[in-house]
Amino acid sequence: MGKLRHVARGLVVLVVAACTDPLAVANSNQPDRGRVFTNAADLEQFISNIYTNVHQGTLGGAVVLDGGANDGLQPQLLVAGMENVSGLANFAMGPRGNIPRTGIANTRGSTGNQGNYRDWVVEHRAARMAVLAISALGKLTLGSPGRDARGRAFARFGQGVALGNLALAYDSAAVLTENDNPEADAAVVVPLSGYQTVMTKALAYLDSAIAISTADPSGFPLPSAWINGNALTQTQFVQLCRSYQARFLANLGRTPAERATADWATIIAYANAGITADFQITMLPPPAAGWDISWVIQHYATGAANWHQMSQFWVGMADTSGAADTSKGYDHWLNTAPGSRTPFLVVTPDRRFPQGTTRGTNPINDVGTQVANSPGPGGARQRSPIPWDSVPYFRNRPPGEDQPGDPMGISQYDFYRSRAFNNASRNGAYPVMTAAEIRLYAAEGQLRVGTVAAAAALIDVTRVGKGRMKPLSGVITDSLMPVPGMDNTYVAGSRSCVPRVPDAAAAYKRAKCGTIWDALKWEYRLETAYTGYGMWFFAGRGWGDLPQYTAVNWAVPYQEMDTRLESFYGVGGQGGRDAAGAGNYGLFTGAVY
Amino acid sequence: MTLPRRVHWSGVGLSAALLVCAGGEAWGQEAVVRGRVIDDRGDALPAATVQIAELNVGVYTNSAGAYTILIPAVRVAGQAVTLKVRVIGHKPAVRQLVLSAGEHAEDFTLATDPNLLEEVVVTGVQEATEQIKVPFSVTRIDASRMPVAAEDPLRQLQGKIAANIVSNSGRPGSQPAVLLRGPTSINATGRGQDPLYIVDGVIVNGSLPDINPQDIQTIEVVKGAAGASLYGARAGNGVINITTKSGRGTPDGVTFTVRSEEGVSDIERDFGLAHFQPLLMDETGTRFCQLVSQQPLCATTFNYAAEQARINNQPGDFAGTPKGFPIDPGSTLSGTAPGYSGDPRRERFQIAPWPGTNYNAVAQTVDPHVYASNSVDMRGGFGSTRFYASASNITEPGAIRFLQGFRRNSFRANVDQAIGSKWNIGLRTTYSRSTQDGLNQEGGGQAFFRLTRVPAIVNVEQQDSLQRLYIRPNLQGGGSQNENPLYSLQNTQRSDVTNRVVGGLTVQYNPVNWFNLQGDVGYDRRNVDFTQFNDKGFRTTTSTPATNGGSIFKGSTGQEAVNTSVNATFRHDLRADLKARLSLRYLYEQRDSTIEVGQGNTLSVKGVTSLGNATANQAVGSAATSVRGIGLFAGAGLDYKDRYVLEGLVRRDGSSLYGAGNRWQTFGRVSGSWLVMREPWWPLPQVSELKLRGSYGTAGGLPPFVAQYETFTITNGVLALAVLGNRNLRPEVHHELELGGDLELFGRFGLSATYARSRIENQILPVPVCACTGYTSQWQNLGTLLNISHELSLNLPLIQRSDVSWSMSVVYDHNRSWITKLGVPPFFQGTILQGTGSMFQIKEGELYGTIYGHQFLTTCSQLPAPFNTQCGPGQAFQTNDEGWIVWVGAGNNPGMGITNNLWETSLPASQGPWGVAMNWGMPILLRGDPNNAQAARVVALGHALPDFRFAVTQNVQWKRLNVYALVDAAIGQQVWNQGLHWAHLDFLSNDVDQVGKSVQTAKPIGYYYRAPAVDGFSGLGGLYDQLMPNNYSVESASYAKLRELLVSYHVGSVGGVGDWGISVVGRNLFTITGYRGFDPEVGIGAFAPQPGTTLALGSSGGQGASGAINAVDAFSFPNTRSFTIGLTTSF
Repeated sequence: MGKLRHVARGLVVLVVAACTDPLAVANSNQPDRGRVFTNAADLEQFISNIYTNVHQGTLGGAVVLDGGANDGLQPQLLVAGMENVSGLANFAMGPRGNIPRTGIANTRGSTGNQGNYRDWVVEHRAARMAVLAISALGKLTLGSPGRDARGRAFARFGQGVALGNLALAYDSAAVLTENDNPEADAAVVVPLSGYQTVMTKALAYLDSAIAISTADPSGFPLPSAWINGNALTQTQFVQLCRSYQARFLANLGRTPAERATADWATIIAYANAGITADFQITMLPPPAAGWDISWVIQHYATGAANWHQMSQFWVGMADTSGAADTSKGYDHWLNTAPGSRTPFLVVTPDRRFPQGTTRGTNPINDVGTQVANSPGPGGARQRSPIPWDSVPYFRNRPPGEDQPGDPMGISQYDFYRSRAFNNASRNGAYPVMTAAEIRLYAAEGQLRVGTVAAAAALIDVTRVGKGRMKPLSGVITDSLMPVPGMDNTYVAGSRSCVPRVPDAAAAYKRAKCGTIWDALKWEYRLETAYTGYGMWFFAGRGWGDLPQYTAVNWAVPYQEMDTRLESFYGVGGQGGRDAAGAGNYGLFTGAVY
Repeated sequence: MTLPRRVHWSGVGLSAALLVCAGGEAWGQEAVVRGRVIDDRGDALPAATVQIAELNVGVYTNSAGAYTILIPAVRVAGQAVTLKVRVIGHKPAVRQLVLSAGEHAEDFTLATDPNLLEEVVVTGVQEATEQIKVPFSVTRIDASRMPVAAEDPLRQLQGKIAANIVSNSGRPGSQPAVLLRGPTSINATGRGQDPLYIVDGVIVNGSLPDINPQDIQTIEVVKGAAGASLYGARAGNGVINITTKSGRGTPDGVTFTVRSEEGVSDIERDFGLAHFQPLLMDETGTRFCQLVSQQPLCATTFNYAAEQARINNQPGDFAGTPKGFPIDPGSTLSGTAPGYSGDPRRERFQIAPWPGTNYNAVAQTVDPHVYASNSVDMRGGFGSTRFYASASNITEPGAIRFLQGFRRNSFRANVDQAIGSKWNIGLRTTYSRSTQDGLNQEGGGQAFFRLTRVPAIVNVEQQDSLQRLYIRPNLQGGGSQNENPLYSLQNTQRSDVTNRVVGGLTVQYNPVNWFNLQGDVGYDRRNVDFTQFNDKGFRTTTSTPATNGGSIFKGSTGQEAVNTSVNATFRHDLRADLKARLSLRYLYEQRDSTIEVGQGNTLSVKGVTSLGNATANQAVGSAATSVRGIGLFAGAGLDYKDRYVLEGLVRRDGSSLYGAGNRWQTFGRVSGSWLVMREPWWPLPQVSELKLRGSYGTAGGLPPFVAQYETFTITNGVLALAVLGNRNLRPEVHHELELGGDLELFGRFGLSATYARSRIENQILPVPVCACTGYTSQWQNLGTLLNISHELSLNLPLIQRSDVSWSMSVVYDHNRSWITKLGVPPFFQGTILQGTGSMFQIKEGELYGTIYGHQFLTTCSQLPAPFNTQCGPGQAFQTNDEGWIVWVGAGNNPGMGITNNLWETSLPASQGPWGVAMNWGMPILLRGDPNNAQAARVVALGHALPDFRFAVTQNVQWKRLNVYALVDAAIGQQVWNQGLHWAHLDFLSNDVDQVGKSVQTAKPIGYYYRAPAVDGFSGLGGLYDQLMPNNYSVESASYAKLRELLVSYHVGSVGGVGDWGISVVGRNLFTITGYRGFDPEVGIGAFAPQPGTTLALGSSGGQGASGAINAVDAFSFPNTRSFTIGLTTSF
């Protein structure tokens, strides 16, 4: 019997072997739906990566498509919004930062096309991952109702943020649902919807995420790896959803008129229910993992490569030295022929800048110590890293490190808040949404609905808390009232206001005290610089602060239109569609430039 | 010398049969056929086969050309037999003989066969066939036509065959790119455009530099589907079949041959670095102005050398920050500077000499190294055993300072064993071990990129007080590109160690004349272990902790291939003048590959290279693939009256690379040849041979491994949707019609002409899908490429006398590839390096390989109306001395810029073409993009593939002196000279130097880069324009190269010992070209695994996946030239 059994086994083996297709080879290198969606742990892993993809499609430095790690919209958004200035052709920074602005051609092979396409694809991918996951959750449980709910809520969150980002950046996008193309069939093309429709859906998905998590919060906190370093409680998860909703609603408008008509009461509510501390992600740059902000490496690489310059047009608004003597500082700069402008020292009471009235003393008084034993301003050796939220935010570059640059772009200042992070090889926490940002949406809402005092109080949180300037509260009662000269405590001889903005009445040749609106925008710019996705750009278009003819959003990339067999189009530029009008503060030809 | 494999095996078998049957002693009634075989100059012809086909017996001639055939009496019956003599390079001779007992003296004088039509080829044909009867083109190169040994077999083929073989990198040990008849895949990602490589019957995994070229006996090349159908699914790109030397054809005994060659390698040409500079200096011309905001211009100055010393003598791991220049071409060039009135971009001329000693960084980086090649082989046999064994060593360190280049040790043992009269066994084995370095030093950001950014004042050999090379000798802005190129060459330690084993076993059974059975097993294993190490304390130009802390990148790749086949051949004479043949074959093939990498940085301990020493950013990666294929083959052939040949074959191939719904594909061929001059009516005796041939065949192009599968990317555990699967994916199918003729005049001059038309359908393309799917693409079968080729080869034995001979040969080819069908909207593709990703447009009707980019105007008609009517002599727009259309204003001319102070002027945007401002005298970018009138248009600029190629070989022999020269030329191709282009960013190309120009022709620096106002203050403008190609930097790369030069002298025996020869050899000695870069023979090929993420697992070189297509000069290693002296002897 034993021999027979062996023979029988042998026959079975032979039959099986004979039936095996020798040409059937599995791909063991990459997973697919067949494997991931049939195993609960794998499905949960898939869900946990949805927001990773959202991040990679906006700020993340991973090479998620062809092209360099930075070849996405973010470098373009930074220069288009003047948050950063660079004339380098890399990543289409030069073309997007032209003054006067030229349009985005969006034709095959045109400048920046890879970057234009990257965010489009990856955010849609994240949204599709979400709906595939939700579909899969209908067939497979993750182990408990609470885990299922957590997974479903997180998928909706990712879906909402991805679509919201698309609505911010592009003029239209595809609204992806679990019903439109459940098999992700290449033949099924989901129609494009305008950005307002997309945003409506995005907000609804975020509402859905909140509702699911509220209905069954037992799965919370989130595993910290889902948003790296954030083991969010259900309450914190809701705060994050509300914060995104506030950001999306506030920044959707392409024009001042459109921003003005946003639902500011809802924005206030969302913002008030939003995050109370900076939303930071623990970054683990490639090759280690998918959490990274590669652009940070450029934030202070000022001189050598000119990837990063801070425009003195904006930083100059902190300068008070020209208030009493227009031959100095920002006033002098404004009154100088555009081609002849040179960097100047910002003498300001705003403690987020280095203090002092001369270049020699300015950096010494209050420069932070950021990285142990690395060269500091003026040759001083710095002692230890400083935290992100200490002051100053900017470095007054030592004279020896001055660099030439384009007159509108160069200044003596570098962004140094992120230096410790970058010097840690981009490992560690980095804020991608600051509490100040969300708070200032509420402040703007209060201004929009006419409650100036409430707005002033919200603005003062950082204006006083970080800038150590005197508060607006109790002083400003009218949104048109200039911020008065109020402070001579910190800067000897100074008696002027911050911000000081180019004065239309003086043909933008000198500065005047800004209003509470200008103060709001000033706080926003200082508190969001180099943090999230297109911070200055998305806000700036609704404020009317973009240079004239800047494209106010990106067109559907031509690569996508090709897949849809539709004709493509460009945006921005003189006479182009979706081009910004004359910018505030003289940002148009014949005024400031 | 040996015979082609199958013929030879018959010969060995027959010889063995004779020996076995005849025993050791001749009978009294036996017949003995003796004689001598010589050539038409009277020289003995060793290793010629002498056969009597009717008796199935044959022998080889010895070194004196003599032969003896012993025929046992039992087989001697006074019958008529045919004695046939054949040897490579000569026409066979046939003689009828009535076989009777006793001695027969039969001497032969064989005529030279200039066209080699009588040679037997084995590639592409169903069994070994005389070239004259092969109905398609097979090029056969034997060792005698490769007198200059190269580093690898493919370089050795350059100029020998009509094909595009491009040595796209001069990095020692790199493999050239090969296009036998033009590109065949629009997108060859993951598979390449190379032909199928077979070595001794083993289908190998490419990587031919592992094969010692001196072991090669013959190389046969079949170029397209019309000839390569036999090889089925992998053969669409043609086949290169290498046969190594064996002991076949040698008499009993052993002959040793020793070769030694030593010399130097260097780099022929220079890269044109600038000699002058436009920086602001004080009145002494020795100190440079420093930029200090709010100070007057040049209020502070500094000494360049002192500043270099200051910033480089920092004790830490990075340089200090240098003082800034008010006008810094290496940085964003300001429209202004403190105290500077005017616009430096239009006022500054690059004419100022650098103070002090000037240097040439290229000369300092190029360091000729000693080239050495040594080999010894042993060839011979005893009884029924024949063998060839060799050992060789090559050291090709290249010519780059601090790099060791390529070293290879190889061993080979080939054994043939006859067993009885019916069995033959052949064993082929080789092992090689090679090392290579410098694999991290090509491409943007690497050493040769930095080399293009070194001003003449910089001494890259300068060391600091700690004897470290200056890390940042260039004080200008520019980021890491200012790093000393020598530093990374010196301190990045890269080593790639390759171990390769290739072996093949063939067993042949010949029971009867009309049938034989053959079984083959081939095995190929290649392992590469690589390590890249930057030690702790690695210096950088600015603080970069992750780099300064050191980094480790390690990994290994393994490729293993096994192929087996069984082949049965039946022969039958259907009539006396009609011979038939039927072949059946089964093949199985499996190829497995693996790669594993690990990396990390921030080392704990200096000098420790294990991965465990890395404390940060650790990452691992791996991939494994397996490919299996099955082939079933049936073929038949007819030979009528020895002048009409017809054959056909069908092959059914299954592959695991096809989609699950489409695993099998059928290929086939119908072909025929007509030996016209053998017709009785042929009227022209001057035409000694004329064959017309035609073949139509199909062959395949396999999909890349991943194409059929749905895939998510997974990177360190992070998932993302990637590619949609396609279960219906099929191979690319090559349909090729080949027509040709082989002509021989007066029995001497040979001409071969071939026309081929190849249609490659079902192109395998990663088609972008709607982003709404969540996936990026799906591999689909779409599109058709059409290749049309014309090839000519000419053999001219001009003088053939006993003491002097002069022969010349010419090969020529012309290929064009069009995309005739696409099925999707046009798209761009390119290579993997920055700025190159969108340089080729793929659209219906496009010539494949057309380079796209921006264009500066060269004709008035390119201006939009009405400006095109304001263009010409005396008008507002004119052509300047360099051929560019420029705006000068009516009444002016382009020579008035300095004398009339016009460089400062400009045309406002409101009055300019396309609404764009024009700077006086500056090149004008073509605009008018359909979506944005002001945006630059992307237009065709040139073509990456040559219009035609040709090579001329001259071989002159006078007594014992031989001179051989090969000139290889490619005409009509363009290369994007990215190195020159990007050097304009920093004004470090000598194009920007104006010394020697007149006031009429001198140009300010803005002419080259960053002319203001054209694109605003963005920094765009001037000839640099952007990162993408333009018609200034895409330039003609036509060239003619003296590829090989050999002067040898046959010394003969010295002191009664050996047979000595001495030679002087030159490789790539001289290039005639107008190209401005290092070498017009350049391209971007595959990249070995590199640290980081993008290339951690390597790359196949972009979508074209061939350095012969990716015509970008992007900081590759220039090709080396070498000059050596060689010595050979045999005994």
